[in-house]
Amino acid sequence: MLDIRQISKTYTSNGKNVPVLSDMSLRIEPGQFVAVQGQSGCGKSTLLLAAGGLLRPDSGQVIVAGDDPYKLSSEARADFRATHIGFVFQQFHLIPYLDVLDNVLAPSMAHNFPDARSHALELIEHFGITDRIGHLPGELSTGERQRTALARALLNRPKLLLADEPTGNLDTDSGAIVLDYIREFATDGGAVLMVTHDAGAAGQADRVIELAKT
Amino acid sequence: MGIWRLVRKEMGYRKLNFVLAVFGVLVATAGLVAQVTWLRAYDMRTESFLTRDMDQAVKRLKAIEKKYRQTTNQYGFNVRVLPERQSIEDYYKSGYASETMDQNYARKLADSEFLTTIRHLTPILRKEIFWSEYKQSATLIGTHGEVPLKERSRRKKPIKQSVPDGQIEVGYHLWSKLGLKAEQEVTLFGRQFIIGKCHTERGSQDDFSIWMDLKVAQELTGMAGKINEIQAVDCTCAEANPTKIRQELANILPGTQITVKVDPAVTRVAIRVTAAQGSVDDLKARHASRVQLTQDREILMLATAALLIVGAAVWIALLAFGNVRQRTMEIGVLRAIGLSGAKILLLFLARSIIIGLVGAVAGVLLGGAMGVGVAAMWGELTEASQMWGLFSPLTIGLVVICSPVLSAFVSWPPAMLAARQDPAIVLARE
Ligand SMILES: Nc1ncnc2c1ncn2[C@@H]1O[C@H](COP(=O)(O)OP(=O)(O)OP(=O)(O)O)[C@@H](O)[C@H]1O
Ligand SMILES: [Mg+2]
Repeated sequence: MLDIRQISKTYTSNGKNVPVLSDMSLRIEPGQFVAVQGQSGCGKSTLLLAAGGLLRPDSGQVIVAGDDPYKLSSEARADFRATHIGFVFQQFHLIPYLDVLDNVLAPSMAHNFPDARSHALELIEHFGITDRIGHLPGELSTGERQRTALARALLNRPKLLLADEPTGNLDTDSGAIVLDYIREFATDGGAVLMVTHDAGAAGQADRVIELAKT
Repeated sequence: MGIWRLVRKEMGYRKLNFVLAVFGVLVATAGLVAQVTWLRAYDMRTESFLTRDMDQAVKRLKAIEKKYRQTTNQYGFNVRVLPERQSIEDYYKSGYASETMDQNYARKLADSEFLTTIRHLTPILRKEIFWSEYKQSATLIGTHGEVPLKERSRRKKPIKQSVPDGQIEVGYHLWSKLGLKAEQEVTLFGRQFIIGKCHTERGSQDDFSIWMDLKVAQELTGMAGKINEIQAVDCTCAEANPTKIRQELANILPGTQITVKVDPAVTRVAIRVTAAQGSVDDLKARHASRVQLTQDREILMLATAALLIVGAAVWIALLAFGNVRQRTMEIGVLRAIGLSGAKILLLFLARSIIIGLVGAVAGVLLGGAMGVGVAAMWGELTEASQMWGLFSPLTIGLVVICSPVLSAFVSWPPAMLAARQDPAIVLARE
């Protein structure tokens, strides 16, 4: 499902080169749950962005669902993300002025699918936040926010879920709930690439990759 | 979910930015609409003032014209008839006509029936003489009163009685210089006369004149049956037109020249008629220049409006930049979940269009209300229908259409910035 072939990425800031990834390769099959661990600043988020078609690597290739998103135009790549990829961010990044339902429905602005609403309600029900459906993110607990973010990532029925420390801000119980859902997504045939610090969280994965600082 | 829903919710969430932006548009559009409405109200007011002044001026003119007709009826004209061959220049220089005409002319004029009414008609023989008995030059005036036809029903005798035969009347300077008295016997051209009357000072050539009966004067000067002037005093004519009167008299008395002198009273009223006519003309001119003044004001108004619009445009652009900066993370997330750059652009443009539209509608309402308020304060609005006349549909239409367009136009750069923003930059920074 995800095939990363020898990608390298070097950031340039203030005229200085910051090499982050070099010759990184990774393969995730459908149904596989892969966790990435490593020191802060070693390039975990960078790897996720590159895998999600948001950050073009300097060299190497990224293949998602058989296609290289970086060979597409910017507009087509956006649509590609909307159809194949789900993102969960560490800081959730819910849209502050949309309630839970609208946040979950947000991906349908990019790519409208007919059962978006019923699917959103299903996901909300599934993640146990139905009673919070009309609340704004500011009115939710951290765990509820992360579940909303997860529901949003799954609305488009992605083939690849990219999660950047989805449990980083959660207490053990909330974290466990979120991890269960991610596990479930993989069991249902989805591919998951999850960044985490947490050894416990990594323990849920089929495979753990240790990313070293370059 | 559609983009409009997101735009609407965002505006409701970040109320301050939205309200400030709408307020900017509102100030500009309300200012514009209020100015246009005021200008119209002002125009209406000027128009009504001018119409009122015009009505008054025309009324005044009519009253004066009436008075003029009355005055010309009362006083009218003085007419002087001289022999045709008489040089007017000599007449004025010497004070009398050297040429003569038949005495019957006066009778003929008195007996004629015509439009002009003559109250007093006097045939005159006037001549410069040397009063050898007193070694003194003087003007001899022989007169004989005629009663004009139209006056005969009212009186039998002429107002100015002729001097009885055997008598003379003497002018002021003449009698005072020569020491003459009334009832005194004097000799003139070797003939005995009694002084019938010593006249008081008249301040004219009359003060050196001697009056006597026309017939006697003709005998003394050897000009039997001749006169050299006819005076018709207090002539009136419905037409009040000197040229017409002259024409009419000339038809009756061929071989004469006629001078028509307007009475000073008539001249005075005529001046007032001219003045009244002038003020009517003046108002007409002001009415015409009003259009020019309105145009000048419109230009001034456009200049202020341009200033307002530029100010509002800068204000909206700044607020749009602020909005974009505030939403960088949100834009990154929207891009990550698949929104294209074009959709992000649309998101921000839709927002600015709504701001422009809401601001314009509010501005039109507020500006219109301000305009109507001022017009009402001026007391120009007596009927509700007049209120609609204050509004310019073209201006309102332009404002409502142009405001969202302009708002979108100035929000384009920040919206473009948002659309081009690299989502990875913000997302990697988390
Ligand atoms: N846009 C950028 N320009 C320059 N340097 C960057 C940029 N984004 C990230 N970096 C640098 O690249 C390195 C890797 O960043 P990245 O966010 O991928 O690390 P990470 O492994 O996710 O760290 P963390 O565990 O703290 O989230 C860091 O040293 C970071 O400072
Ligand atoms: Mg990171």
